[in-house]
Amino acid sequence: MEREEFAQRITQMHCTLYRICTSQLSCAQDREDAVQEALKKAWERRRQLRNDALLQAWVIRILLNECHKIQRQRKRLLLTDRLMDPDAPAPEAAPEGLLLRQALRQLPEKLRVPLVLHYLEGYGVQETARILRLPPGTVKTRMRAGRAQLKLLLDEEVFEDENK
Amino acid sequence: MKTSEDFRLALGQPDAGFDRAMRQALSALPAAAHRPAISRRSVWALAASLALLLGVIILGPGLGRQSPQPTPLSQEATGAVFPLRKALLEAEFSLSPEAEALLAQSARAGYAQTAHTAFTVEAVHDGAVLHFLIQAKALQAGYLLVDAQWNEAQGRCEALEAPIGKLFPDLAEEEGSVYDYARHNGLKLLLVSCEDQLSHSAPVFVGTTWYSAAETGGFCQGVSIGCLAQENALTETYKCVEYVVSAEGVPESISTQQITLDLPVGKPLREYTIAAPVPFEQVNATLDQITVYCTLMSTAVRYTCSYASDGDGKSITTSLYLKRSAKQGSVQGSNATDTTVTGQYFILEPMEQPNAIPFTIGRSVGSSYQYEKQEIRLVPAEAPNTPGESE
Repeated sequence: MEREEFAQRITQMHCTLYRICTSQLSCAQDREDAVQEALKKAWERRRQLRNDALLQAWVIRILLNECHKIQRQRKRLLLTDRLMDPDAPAPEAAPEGLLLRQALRQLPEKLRVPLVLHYLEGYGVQETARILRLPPGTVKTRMRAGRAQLKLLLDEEVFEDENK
Repeated sequence: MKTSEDFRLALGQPDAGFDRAMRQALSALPAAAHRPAISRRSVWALAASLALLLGVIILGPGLGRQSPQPTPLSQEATGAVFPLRKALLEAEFSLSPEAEALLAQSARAGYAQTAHTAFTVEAVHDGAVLHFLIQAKALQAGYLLVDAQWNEAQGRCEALEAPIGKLFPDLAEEEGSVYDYARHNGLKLLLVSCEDQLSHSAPVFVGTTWYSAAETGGFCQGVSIGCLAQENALTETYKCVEYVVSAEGVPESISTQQITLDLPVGKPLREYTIAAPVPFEQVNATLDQITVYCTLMSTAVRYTCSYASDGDGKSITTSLYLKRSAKQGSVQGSNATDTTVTGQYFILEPMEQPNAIPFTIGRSVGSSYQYEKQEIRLVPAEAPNTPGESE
C-alpha cells in the first residue's frame, strides 16, 4: 500500500478514530499522542496486514492498544490528570452530551469498547469480535452488560431499538 | 431513550488539535520505506546493481568516494512532530557530561529485599531535573514479574487478564492473558506495585513510565522526571508492595517494603535564563474567592491556591492547574479537602519571557467530574531579571 492510499483511507476514518480516542482517553493531548503513535505503528507494520480491506479494523485495534498503553502510564501519574480538565476539548458540548460522555467513560473498558465499536461505529458483532480478538458470544455478553450499566447510570434505556 | 446518535454527538467531532495531530502523523510517514515482494523485476534490478557495483570496484576506485551515500531514515525526523512530553516520558536516560561528572555525588540508591523480590530505587540529578529509577528483580527463577497491583476491593487484577503482549512487548506474538501465559509456562506470578509517597516540600512528579521485562528473572523499572526545588531538602519514600499469586489466581502472601531516599540539595547543573524567582501578583479570582499566588522559580512555578470556605463543613476539593493547551509542560497539583492547596508547575521548556501565564483555575466538588473552572492570567508583579543573569 502506498503512502497516499494509506493517508487517504486513514483520513476517511478520522471521525471514527477521534470517537474511539475520546471514549477511551479524557485528555486531548493523550488522544493526540495515541493517534499519532497508532498511525506511525500502523504504517511501519502495514506488511503484517494480509488483507488491505481490513485496514480500518486493524488500525482501530492498534489505536485501542495505544489508548490502553497511555491509560497504564496515566495510572502511574499521581492525581495530575484528574486535576486537569477532563473534558477540555469540547467546551461547547451540551450538559447532556457531557453526561453521556461521562457515563460512557465510567464503564469498564471491556464493556465500553464493544459498545462504541458496535453502536457508535457500526461494526457488526462478528467484526467487533475480530477487532477485539474475542469470541462473538463474549462480545454480545459484554454489550448486554454495558447497556445495563449505562441504563443504571443514566436512568434511561440506551440503544434499545438498535440491538442488532 | 438514548440512541447511538446521542452518544456520537456527545463524543463530538475531531477538534483542531486532533486533526493537526493526524495530519502531522500522516505527513511524517516515510515514503521510501515501501518494499514490495521479490519479483522478477526486483531480481533483474538486483543483478544490474551488482554488475554496476562490480564495475565500479574494478574500473574506478575513486568513484566510490564521489557516490552519494545512502541516508538512513532518521528517527528524529519521523519523531520530531511528536510532543515533547512523550519524548520525555519514553526517552532513555541521557545525562549531560556535567551530570555524568557529578553522578557519584548526587546519585543515591535505596535498597530493600523481600523473600521474592529485591527493590532498588535510585535518583539522579540531571541539571534541575531528577530522574528516579525503580527496579524490582525476582530473586528466584520461575517467577513472572508483573508491574501491577492486586485490587483488594474487586478481588482481581486487571493486568493479569490483559493480553500478555500488552504488558510484555517482547511476547507480542503470544496468545492469551498474562495469567494464561504464566500458567502454561509453569511460572508463578509475582505482582509488584511501587507506590511513591512524597513529602509536601518535595518536588513532585511530572511523569512516570513503567515497563516490564519478559524473562522470569526480569525487572520492572520506572522513570520519574521531577524538578529539584532549590531551597528544599528532598526526601522520597517509596512503598513497594509485593503479591505472590497462586495458580488459582489469588494472592498467597503480601509483603511491603519501604525505601527512603534522602537526596542532597544541589545546585542545578543546568542554568535557565530566568535567574531569580519572579513573584507574580496575587490574583483574586471570582470563582468562590479563590486566591492565587505564584512564584516563578528557575524551572517551576510554585503556587498557593486558597479557597474561601463557606463554612458549611462541606468537603471541597480544590485544584489549580496550568492550562495545558499552551503545551509548555506538564502540570502537578495537590488536592485536599481543606481550603488551601499548594503545588508546583514544572516548566519543561525554558521560558523566554515570563510574561503573563495563562492558568485555568478549577474547583471540583464531590466527584472529579463536577468541575467549575475559570481562566485567569498571572502577571509578574515586577519586571523579571535580565535573561542570562545567574543567581
